Amino acid sequence: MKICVLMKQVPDNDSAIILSNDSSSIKLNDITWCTNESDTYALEEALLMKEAHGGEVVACSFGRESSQQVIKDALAKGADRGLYISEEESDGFDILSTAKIFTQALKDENFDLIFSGLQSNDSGNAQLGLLLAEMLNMSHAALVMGTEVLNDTRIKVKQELEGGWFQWTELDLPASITIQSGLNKPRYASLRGIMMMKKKPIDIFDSSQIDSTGSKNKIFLDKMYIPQKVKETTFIEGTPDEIASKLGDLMINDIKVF
Amino acid sequence: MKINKNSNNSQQIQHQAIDHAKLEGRGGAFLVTPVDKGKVFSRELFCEEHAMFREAVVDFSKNQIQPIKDELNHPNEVLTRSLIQQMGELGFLSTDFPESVGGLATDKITSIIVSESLMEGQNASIIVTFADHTGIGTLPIIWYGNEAQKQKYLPKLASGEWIGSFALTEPGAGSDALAGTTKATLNKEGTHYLLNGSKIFVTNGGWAEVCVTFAWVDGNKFTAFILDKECTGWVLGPEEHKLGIKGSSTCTFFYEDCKVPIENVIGKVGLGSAVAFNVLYVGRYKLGATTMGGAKKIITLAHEYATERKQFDRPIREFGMIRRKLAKMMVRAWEADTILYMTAGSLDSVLSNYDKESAEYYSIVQKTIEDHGIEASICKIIGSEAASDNIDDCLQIFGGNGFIEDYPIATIYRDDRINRIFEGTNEINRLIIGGTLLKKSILEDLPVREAISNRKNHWIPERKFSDHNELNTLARIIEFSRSLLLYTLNEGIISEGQDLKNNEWVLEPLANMVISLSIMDAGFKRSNNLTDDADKKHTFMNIFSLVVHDRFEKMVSHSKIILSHLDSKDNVSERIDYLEKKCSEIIIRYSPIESMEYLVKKLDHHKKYFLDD
Repeated sequence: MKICVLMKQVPDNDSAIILSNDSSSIKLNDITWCTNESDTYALEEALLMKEAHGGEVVACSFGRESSQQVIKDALAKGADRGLYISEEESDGFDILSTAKIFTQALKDENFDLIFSGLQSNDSGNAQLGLLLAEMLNMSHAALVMGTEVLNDTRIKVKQELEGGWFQWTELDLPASITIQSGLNKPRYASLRGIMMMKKKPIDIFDSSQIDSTGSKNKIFLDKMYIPQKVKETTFIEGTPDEIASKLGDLMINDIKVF
Repeated sequence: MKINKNSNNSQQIQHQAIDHAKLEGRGGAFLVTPVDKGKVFSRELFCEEHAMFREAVVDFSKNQIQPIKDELNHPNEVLTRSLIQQMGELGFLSTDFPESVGGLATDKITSIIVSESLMEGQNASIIVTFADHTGIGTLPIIWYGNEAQKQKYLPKLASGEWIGSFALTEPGAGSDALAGTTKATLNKEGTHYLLNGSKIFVTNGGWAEVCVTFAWVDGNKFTAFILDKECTGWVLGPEEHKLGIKGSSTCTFFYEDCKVPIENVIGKVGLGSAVAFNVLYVGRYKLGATTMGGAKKIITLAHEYATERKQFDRPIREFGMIRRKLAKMMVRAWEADTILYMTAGSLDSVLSNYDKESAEYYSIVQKTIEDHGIEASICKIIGSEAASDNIDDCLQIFGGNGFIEDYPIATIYRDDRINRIFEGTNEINRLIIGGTLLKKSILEDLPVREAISNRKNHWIPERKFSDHNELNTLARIIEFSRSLLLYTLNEGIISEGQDLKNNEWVLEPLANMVISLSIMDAGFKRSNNLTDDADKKHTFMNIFSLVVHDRFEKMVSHSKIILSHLDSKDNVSERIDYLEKKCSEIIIRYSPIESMEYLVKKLDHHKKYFLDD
């Protein structure tokens, strides 16, 4: 089984987000970077599959030079090889253009499976896996919560539906599958794994040399802003029974926690 | 090595050449190496692997330890074992283990990184279990064990399947470790030693499968033994009720004809004191690493509370007295960081020249670490005192809430107290610094005599130390401080002779001077490792200026204590007069408040100790 895991470097949740003066981007100086959360689950699923069925796991990332760190982290955890698509201005690509770049970089690899996290924590498109399936002529399943390899040509996946429902689906390989967080327990990098990482290859693609005909942006970023925090306090008055009744009503109909 | 105190005529004193390149990697080299002659390791020189090791341990600590940190404050063998085994799987336990038994045999810098980063888990008990296991609990076998002992014990200690411990202290033998009375008698078949006696305060005692312990053979040969669960007569006493680190195990051992096979003697009969004392050096610098991690971590808690807590309609972090505390906390943590990585780097600069799998490697490790005895003790003192001072300041920032158990700082305060006591009390470590300094000077192990001579009339050598004006000014203060230490040391030797090594009244301030000089010296040399990032350089200058001026004042004050004592004893006043004259020649113009405010503003932005990034 030859598996590619798409991994994105995103700002850590604890990073202070500061906008540029024209509100078109975030300042990168003080950002602490990490691997996109759901991508770490995708990697773990690929590693488990390799351990059970053999094969190769390739970690692939697209972005500025620092993005190679997410590949190195994946290699330290057990991926066999890295594939880095260099592009210092990757934030300026819309999702369709990004998918076209990936397609060019991946098309000759003939992967059986492409795993990606459900969506990225920064831009949150949740479309890359689906677009790649179309462009590379692969089957597709999104929001996957479990996998089971049936044979060399088919895979069964458990998909999350709305309202707490799940659905098992069978797909032909090759397939591009987007992974939901929580389906496994991502491993930690071991110190030995980190020491081995140096011996594993990372192939580098320069995105400017990839034929990206037609990868012109169709979506343009207008403005970024940090949501204002709004605190709204409602006092419920009355007898204890009245308060309980009004509170229940609020929770069911307004806040909709039930 | 006395310098004639009456030979004040500079023309009579010839400059003595010191080969500074030869001193690289030598313990105590900082005493005689000017700021522009040597280099140090610091975290700015971390390689990619080091950075990834750190991330890996931080990731584990934040996700596996921190969420259960309160549970770990109560003794829980199952939970502790599970964490230790996970650490074993990830290699955290085996950085110092040879590859032949499944270890990683990394550099010493990595050991420090692992120890420091585990503090991200915010639990002291698990750190104590880890540190005892990986340090004094296993190092005697790694360093002094024969191949059979290594193969029998180390793989399971590396994986965490077995927990290690170290039993040296006895009711009548604490700091004076050789005052113990436990005896080992060879049985008549010559197959086993029978141990009789007791050991107290054994960390990991209740959980350990393996213990390195010590006893007198024939009444005069102090010997190290490995105990395991097949040794009958190894009787476990009850758990101690401790002030802090309550989630770790601390027990008494009773040896009642405890039957230890002769194969379990470590090294050879009579080698026990070398085993005990050499591994304690490592225990010391590793304790420096965990406490340094704690000193940094507590800043987040202090700043968070100072931001949330409002008085007079303002967050208390806006008040100058709170800001001064926060600034000092950062300075202390930075000092500990500087000294820890300087020491580890110096050890590695020597050890990297040897084949780790060669037969003599571990004897070279021992010699190198013993040579760095002064640095190991400085690491322990600076780390533990940075942690305790920072934790005390944090509790003060918490005000009345700090005194209430519902808030986290009370537990931290209790947990921390042991750090100034175990692995050699800080008093014993100051004694080691002073004693080793005298030994290295008198035996001319370091060219201290030459340095004293060279500095006699030139407290600040006439040259430019840095192209950076501000750094050059700081360099002059540091070189003045170096001369001050050399002068004070020389006067102490002249006045007290050999008796100086027993005069703790003098050795303590002398050790404090050595500590201060080591920090200033390493700090300056760290400046050579900075990148071109202007913001980082500016931050460095602010923190380093604070360090140098504060340490300089402390050095003068400690020197005065010593020199006035010597004058008083000799019924003269010439030394103090000379010091006053010398101090009047160096003019200090510096306002620390601006530097402190700069650092705290940065802290306000980062909300944590930010000088690691």
